[in-house]
Amino acid sequence: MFRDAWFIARNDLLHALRERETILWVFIMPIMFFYFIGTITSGMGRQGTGKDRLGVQIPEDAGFLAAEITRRLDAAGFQIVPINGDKELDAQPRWLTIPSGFTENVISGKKVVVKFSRKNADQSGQYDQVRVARAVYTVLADLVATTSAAEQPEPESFKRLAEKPRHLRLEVVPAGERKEISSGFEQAIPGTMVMFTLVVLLTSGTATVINERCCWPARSRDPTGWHW
Amino acid sequence: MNFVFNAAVKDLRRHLRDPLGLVIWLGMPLMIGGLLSLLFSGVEKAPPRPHLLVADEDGGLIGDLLVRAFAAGTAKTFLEVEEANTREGRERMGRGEASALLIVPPGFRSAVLRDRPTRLVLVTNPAQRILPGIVQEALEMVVESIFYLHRLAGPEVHELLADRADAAQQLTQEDISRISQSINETMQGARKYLFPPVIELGSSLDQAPTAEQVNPAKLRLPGILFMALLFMAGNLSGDVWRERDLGTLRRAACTPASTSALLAGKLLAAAVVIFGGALVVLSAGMLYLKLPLAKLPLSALWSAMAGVTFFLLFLNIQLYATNQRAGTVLTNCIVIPLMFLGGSFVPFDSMPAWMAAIGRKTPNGWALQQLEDILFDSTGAGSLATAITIVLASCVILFLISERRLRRLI
Repeated sequence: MFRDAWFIARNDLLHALRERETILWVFIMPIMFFYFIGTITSGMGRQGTGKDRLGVQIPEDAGFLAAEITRRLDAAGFQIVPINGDKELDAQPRWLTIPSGFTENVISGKKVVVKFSRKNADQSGQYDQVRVARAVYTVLADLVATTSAAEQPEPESFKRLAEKPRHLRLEVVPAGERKEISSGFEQAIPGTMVMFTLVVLLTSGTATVINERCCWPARSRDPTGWHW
Repeated sequence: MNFVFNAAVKDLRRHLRDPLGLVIWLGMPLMIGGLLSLLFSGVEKAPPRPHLLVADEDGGLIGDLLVRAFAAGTAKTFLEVEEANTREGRERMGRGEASALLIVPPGFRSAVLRDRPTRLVLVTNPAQRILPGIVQEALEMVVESIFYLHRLAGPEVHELLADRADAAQQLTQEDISRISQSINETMQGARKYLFPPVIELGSSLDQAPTAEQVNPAKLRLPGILFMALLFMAGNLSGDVWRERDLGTLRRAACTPASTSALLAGKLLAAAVVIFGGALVVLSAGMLYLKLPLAKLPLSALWSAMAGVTFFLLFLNIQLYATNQRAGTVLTNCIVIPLMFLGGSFVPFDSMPAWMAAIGRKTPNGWALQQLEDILFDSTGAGSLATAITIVLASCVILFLISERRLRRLI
């Protein structure tokens, strides 16, 4: 019995492999699906450095306070991308515009507006907003703290202030282990393999049985015997 | 003209005898689209607020202050704060009921006022990334504001709170007056920069007035429709091989009618089937997504024109194949990548930039963008006329090539 079954299996396999559709759907299409689905879904996660890109437009006369802001934004997890013109802004998901003469105006007590723009209104937009606000307003707080200590607002005095010990700290601990949800090729390859296994087994496998039962004389004319 | 009409009717009757095929061509894209819509239905809801539990082991004042602070004004739309005890807080964090738990240790208030080392513990929900991040940033700002307050008025506060065992060391009226004046001078010095703040952060949401503003579920409708069109065009184009096997193609060639008339009849039948399919998918989609039905006729017409172009393209591929199986394989090899690249499975915005750039230049990707402009944006008459001209010119060229090839085959 096993010898007969092996005989039928071997011949059906050889017959199936001779057909171009089998080569296409068993070997070529799965690889195509791996690539497309894996590429698209891996693009939905964080890319590159893992930091969120932030375009920053800083004029040449912005001064050291602008550099302080960008330093704090970098520490907050942003990848700072210098922007030279308005056209480059469109390519950024979020950007910050610092006005001309920023440091000079702030130190002299003139009000300046730093503009933050973003394209997403969801949770990540709120997160960006909070981080940018912290970076900007801590620069203001440093300025107030420096001048109240009768020091000149300059990079060295800001550095001395940053080196002062902070006795109150926030200790962050996760409540448990983060479950990493697979994406990209980690998910696309096993998922696509399961899909094609089902597709090939349920369609080609059953179609072959039906063909042999009903349409053997027609196989010489239309070997698949399957009309869409 | 009679022959063209009769040929078209003959083909339509043959297609109607295989209703299962029509159901599969339309049903599969609708099912895939429905599943994708269900999968991504949550993104349309307003973003949730971070939920912070506060366990104050220092007597309740700090926790009470935080709850009041974040329950007032615009802060309450930003963060939801709830008081809890430490054990209950950890249990709720274990069940994932909150974004973070803030534990205020005993002696915190005294340590902060005297600027002594102390810490706040923030336990974050590992299943979330952004919401605990928002809480952490907000609390870091609170921590830093305490640092700055100590820089401004720290010495005075320390003097006020210093332990004095000896009655002779108690603060006198002059001491209190001196301390108050010192704090007042500090505030006056800070007035220049703080009241009002010299740096203001202006925020804006910059969303371009294009299809990017559209609900993601609505953006999937053109992709689903073009998936259906590609399925229909690919399968309809293989009909020429079925007629060849049945012998009816050669029989038709023996009539006085030209090959062009025969091909025109097939094209007309395919156009009717494709238009009907487009109408069904668009009607179902627009009713489900509550889009204005006034755009249905133009959308259906454009979709049918695009579908007819795909049909002619695949027909050419079939006619240049050596047999039906080779034609089917070649057509599938082209349809599947076109579906992926052309935005039928995933919108262009979700693709890598290089893939989207290629996809927008494919025939179905380009036609899909025109459909998006018709459905979601006010497309100009000029640009639509140009697009229609391109499609008609393509149809004419493909028709002539396929007619020439069909004549040689017959």
